[in-house]
Amino acid sequence: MPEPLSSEFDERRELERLQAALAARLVYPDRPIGGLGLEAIELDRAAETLVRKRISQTRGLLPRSVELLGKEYRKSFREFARSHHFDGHRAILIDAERFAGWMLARARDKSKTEPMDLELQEALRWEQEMCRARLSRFRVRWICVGRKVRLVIRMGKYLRVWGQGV
Amino acid sequence: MRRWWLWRWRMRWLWGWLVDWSSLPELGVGIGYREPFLGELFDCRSSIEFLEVTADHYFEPIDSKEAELDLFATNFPLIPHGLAMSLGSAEGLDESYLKLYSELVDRLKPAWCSEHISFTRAGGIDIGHLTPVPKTDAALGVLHDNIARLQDSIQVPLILENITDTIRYPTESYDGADFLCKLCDQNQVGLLLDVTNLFINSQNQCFDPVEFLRRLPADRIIQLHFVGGFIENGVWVDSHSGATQEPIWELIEQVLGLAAVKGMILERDENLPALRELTPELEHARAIVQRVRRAS
Repeated sequence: MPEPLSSEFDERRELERLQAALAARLVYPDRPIGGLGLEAIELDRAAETLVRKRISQTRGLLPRSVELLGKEYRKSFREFARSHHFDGHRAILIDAERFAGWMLARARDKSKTEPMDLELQEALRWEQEMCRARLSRFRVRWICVGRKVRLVIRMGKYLRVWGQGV
Repeated sequence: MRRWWLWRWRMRWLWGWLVDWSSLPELGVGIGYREPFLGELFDCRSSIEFLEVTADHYFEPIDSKEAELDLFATNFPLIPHGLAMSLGSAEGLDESYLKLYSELVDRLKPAWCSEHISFTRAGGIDIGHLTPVPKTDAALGVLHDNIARLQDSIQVPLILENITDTIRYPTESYDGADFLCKLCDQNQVGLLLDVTNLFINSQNQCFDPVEFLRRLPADRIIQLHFVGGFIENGVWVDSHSGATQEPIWELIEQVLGLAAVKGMILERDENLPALRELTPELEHARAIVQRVRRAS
């Protein structure tokens, strides 16, 4: 393969810089990208699409969210995640774990005035534990939620779960 | 060293010209496999002539995923479709991703394999989504080098997919059709024409999609993708979330009239209904293929 000429080399370096700046702006919407002539409205829209696609990926990472907590939960998570940074699956999982914790705290606050929904509480705790299992460097975990004990084995981003009620 | 590179480059160039695109097998109409389809896949077998699997989902050596892939491979023609090769990255390819992708292709020995004309990684950041490259000579040079690197690792024809232009760069040397023509001229690649993406770009950028189609090298259009999108604040979004809209069906008919397409894939990703609810779309696509063939 012929080596690039110096002008080609300069153009590639320029393209590399442009791509790096664009990637940073899409993932971290508060980063400036001045001087490149790109339209802010298009960048915002592209960043929003990115968040939407990222969140749709969490369906694969956390498949039980919809099943246990319902579509409304995922909609709220999407609103929550809109203002957060997304750089890889890890960040999504950290956000998902925090969001479940926040929902759990809200449910506990509510329980002061009305009866606690134990099923919801367990589902939220299970969601948190699943996120933690995926984030953990340990491959094997015993997870105890309510009266149920489950064995979780992580293989890359996939989880196998054994136990009662799974 | 330089002489060896030159020899290798010439050999690859000669091999490239020997690819006979018309000899690729006709795979028919199929679907992009998603996990929720598994339960009904074999019930709907008669409507699905081939499967497109997301290559990235089968990189990890997990018994259950390998067994799933083997099951598909014995029952369907399979086409691996990569998401994150990032062929448009000026910083080059990720060697570990390339290795995983080429091992999968080697294992499946498909009729062809596919990727996107985009970048997903730059400056150490994984964008996690397909981002368009500027339509310039520099980007064509980067694509050429990365495609060459990929083709060195795989033994099957490579086809590349057009994406939606979510970002338009201020200084571009080519329009969309010229860029694809140049890409095909400079590389031995086929086109995976995403008809929905073409329609969406034509609506958002106000151009005639049929005129765009006529400028493409018809012999290189090997496979199609189709699915429905939606309009948000006056802008079309390729959400892959709904039934294919009528103007997209019309555009598919135009493509089939111009090119001897070898396969069509319904690429639904969001709002996934039961698989049997998607089979009428596959039948509709098949009916269009038959109608166009009868007419020609």
